[in-house]
Amino acid sequence: MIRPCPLPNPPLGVPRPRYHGVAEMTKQNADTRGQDEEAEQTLWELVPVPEYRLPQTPVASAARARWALLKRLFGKRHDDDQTPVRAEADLRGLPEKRLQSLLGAVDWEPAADALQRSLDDRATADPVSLLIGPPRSGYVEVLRCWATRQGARWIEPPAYHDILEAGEAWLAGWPSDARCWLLPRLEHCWLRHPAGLALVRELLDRALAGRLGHGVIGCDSWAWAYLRYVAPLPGRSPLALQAFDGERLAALFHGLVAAHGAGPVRFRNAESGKLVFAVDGDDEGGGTAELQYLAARCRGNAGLAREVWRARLRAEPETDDGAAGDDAKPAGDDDAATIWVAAPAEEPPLAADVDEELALVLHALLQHNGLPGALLTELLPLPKFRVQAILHRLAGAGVVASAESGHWYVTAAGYAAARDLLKAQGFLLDDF
Amino acid sequence: MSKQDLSSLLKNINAGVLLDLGLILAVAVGLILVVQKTLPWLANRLRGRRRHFLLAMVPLLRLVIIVGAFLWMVPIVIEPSLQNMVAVLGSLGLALGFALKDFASSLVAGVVAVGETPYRNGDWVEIDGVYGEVTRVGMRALQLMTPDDNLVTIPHLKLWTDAVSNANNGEPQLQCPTDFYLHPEHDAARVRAVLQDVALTSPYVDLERPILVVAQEQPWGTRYRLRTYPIDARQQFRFSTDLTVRGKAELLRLGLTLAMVPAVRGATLDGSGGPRVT
Repeated sequence: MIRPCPLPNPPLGVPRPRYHGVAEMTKQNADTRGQDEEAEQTLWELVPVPEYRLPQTPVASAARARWALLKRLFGKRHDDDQTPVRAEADLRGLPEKRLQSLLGAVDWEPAADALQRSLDDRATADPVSLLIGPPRSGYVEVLRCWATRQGARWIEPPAYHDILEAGEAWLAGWPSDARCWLLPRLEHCWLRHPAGLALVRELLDRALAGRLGHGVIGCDSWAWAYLRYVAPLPGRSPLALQAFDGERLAALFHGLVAAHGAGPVRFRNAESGKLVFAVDGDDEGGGTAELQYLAARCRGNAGLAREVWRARLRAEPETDDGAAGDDAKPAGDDDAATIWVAAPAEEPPLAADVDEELALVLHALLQHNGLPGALLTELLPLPKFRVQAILHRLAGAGVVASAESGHWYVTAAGYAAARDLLKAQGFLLDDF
Repeated sequence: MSKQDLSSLLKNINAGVLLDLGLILAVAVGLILVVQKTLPWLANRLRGRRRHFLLAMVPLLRLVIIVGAFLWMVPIVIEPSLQNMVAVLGSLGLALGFALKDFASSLVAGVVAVGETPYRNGDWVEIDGVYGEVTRVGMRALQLMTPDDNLVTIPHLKLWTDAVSNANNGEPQLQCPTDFYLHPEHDAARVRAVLQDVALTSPYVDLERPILVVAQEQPWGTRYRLRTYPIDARQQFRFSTDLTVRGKAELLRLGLTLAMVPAVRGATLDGSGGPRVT
């Protein structure tokens, strides 16, 4: 069982986190807050990994996706048989400031609350608990939030050269006090190399035996899928954030818009003109089929869905007289601004591609949750120039991108296509 | 057979009958061509079981089409009585038996091959010392594409007399043994663990399949055979190359010495030929 660490006092001038302030609120506020917290509690739920339930794809959307796949198989890529209500060319992307107000950063505190509740419920003698999450799902942010509140010690992963040398020095430097610790990125503690497994094996062996004290380990789902074959496992299933279906995604997005004070907003599909969801406006009922499809395509990964959704938001262009066409309000409509949701960006054409080298690079990037280009050459049976050529090709297709640190990673836009490609080629996939 | 007998055997062959026969033949040939072109084309865009299933369907569908066309055409040409059928088919069998014995035998073996499936499209087989992927199972012969990119045609006739070694038997995966030879003085348990990690970390390995290290002591050293499966049978040479390259690098990094046996004419490495012990 994870022993709760004493809560640190907040710095002067910084309000205590919301979950401590309930008793100080007026009754009315407390009631409202109570409802909000209840909603947030149901929004973020932690479950054992085998209980992760993928959202169902709406039947119509699944049929459309299969039809598109069939057309792609036979070489036809575009379908121009439908005239959109708002042509994408007539719309403009939203400025970052507006995007922040519509879909700003997620408040991970309710999720950290849920994590703590799950850890408390698991009243076992296990010294270590694991939280697994797919890429971009926010599991690291949840753990960061949890660690801050619990005063847990944050453990940085070792350098790559330490991993290849079994990381004796790194393990020797493990804190020996009774404070609980957090290792948020187990995926950065190993390499798919004959010399790259010793450290993670030793680490998990010590941690599961309780020789490292009490702590929590976070791990990417792709790395975990592989580590299950090569390292000692805990007796109990690791935890994961439950998948988001269309309704929960709508609740999350609704909460984000409301939390950042974006005002009354209506999100309409630019192609069909249908309402997707509205915030503080006259809700026309709308349909969650669009969000259900998004949830299914993102496999219940809320963080990924948020990024994909952000990239689809559009506004009316500015008018000639300089008036901001930002979030135009249709004549005769109420005060709610309209944000157009463009059609999903055409996914990179990977599914029909049976290029094995491409799949090797993508698989390595996903399993390690990003890697420097030079290290890819060490791990893959490909010469440096081929790896570079593939990375640039994938970057051109928007499937991968490089960070300032020199790490290459799979982008949110390319994740689904990359997963489909790896699945088609029989590579080991994650559980999410 | 008298002229009268023959006329009672055959139906009136007129322009209409010929047209019917021509149409049936054209449809059958067209269907076979469509099957032979589209299924492999589609299969090569897929992986795993679906690819193998589609490839294996080609000869079966072709046989079904040929048999169907034959059964359709015979009653058009011959009065469909038992006596007539026995007479015609018996004569045909005799003619084929004498004049085209091997050809007929290959055709029959081709039918057996479709039924018994000792090889299917996509299988990796060795027949008469030739190893390669089955790319086409025809009526008379099969074609193998060897790792050296040679297309080898082998008549089905070989099925009667030669052993057919099938490495994957319709499955997408096949076992890929890779050998390592070490100087006898070393920690064998450590080598076994290292070789297992070499296999586990190969990007081609199928982790659902077992990984075995088989060690065998020889007069000149120790032979380790790493038995593993790649994700796809077509990766077998890239896979074993990857295992060899990274395995050697790791063994050398750990300070192990590879076995070096002086070349002796006629010697074999399995010990039977007995390289000279020095």
